[in-house]
Amino acid sequence: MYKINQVVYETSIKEIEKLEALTIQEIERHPLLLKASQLKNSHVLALIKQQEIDYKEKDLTLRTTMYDLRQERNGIMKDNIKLQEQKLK
Amino acid sequence: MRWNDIKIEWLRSHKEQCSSRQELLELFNLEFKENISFNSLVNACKRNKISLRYKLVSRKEQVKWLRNNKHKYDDREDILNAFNLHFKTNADLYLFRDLNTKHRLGLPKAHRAIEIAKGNLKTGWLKLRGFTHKEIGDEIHEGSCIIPYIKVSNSQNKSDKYVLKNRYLYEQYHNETLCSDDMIIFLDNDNTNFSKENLYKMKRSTHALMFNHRLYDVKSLDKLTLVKYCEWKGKIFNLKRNIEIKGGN
Repeated sequence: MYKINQVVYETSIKEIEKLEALTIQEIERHPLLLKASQLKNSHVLALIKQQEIDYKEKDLTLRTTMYDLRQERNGIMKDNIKLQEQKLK
Repeated sequence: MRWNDIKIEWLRSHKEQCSSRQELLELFNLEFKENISFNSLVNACKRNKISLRYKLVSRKEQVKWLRNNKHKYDDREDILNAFNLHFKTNADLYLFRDLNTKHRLGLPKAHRAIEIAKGNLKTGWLKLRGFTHKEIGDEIHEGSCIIPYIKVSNSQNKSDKYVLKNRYLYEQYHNETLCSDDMIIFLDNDNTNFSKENLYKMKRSTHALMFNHRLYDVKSLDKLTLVKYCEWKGKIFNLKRNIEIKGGN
């Protein structure tokens, strides 16, 4: 997670600096520069989205495990209560 | 006075024996050594579902009494007190105002109440209700906004008078004036952390890009990274637009 975070941050800073250094005339002469930056930008967006999907998937798995454990605990407690009731009778 | 079961039962048993409510009221006060008003008796009967057949005194009679006695008093409060004492009611000045208008009684003016109201007007309703004047630099909370506002001037224009605390502090930290296109965000999403490192300036267009790409709720990356990414995207967008405008011209 840390790696992607760093990649996105560094790429963004570098690209902003690069674009700020260029004038409109220069970009007009070399339109591929802007195109390349745009492609990189889309690629980084895909990375961010993938990262978020992975994070949500992991979160969902953890939640499901937590709910399963809770259900199991509730089942055990119910059995325990039934046993105690029988003992009292 | 407290209404208990004994008193309620007494009312139930004696309501038939009395020919009027006035008589019932007098008998009640005599029996329990109380001095309750007519309204109190009626309300207690309503609460306990005791039906009283006869009205104490009709409104016509009350109006007639007012007409006959209005010349004896100079102030409306005096005639009101005498009225309440005579009919054992709990009438107020509002009721007298209505009666006066409806029946054209020509009751004396409530000079004392008017004087008090004039004095209150001079004091000002803000002070009367306990509000205090805010000094420059004081914080106020307005509406549902979690971030407080800071008073910066005594201007009549509200937008010049109050500034959001995060904007105010950012201007103080960096010694610059923010324009309406700038907005200040909290990098750690904590709206109460106003430290210098936590406040970040971004353009409204960058914020819109962040929102439109659904990057506002991304939890796997920190906010500064996402802001930088959006600034980059905004830069590309602006350059493309500038070129298009130039090409069009």
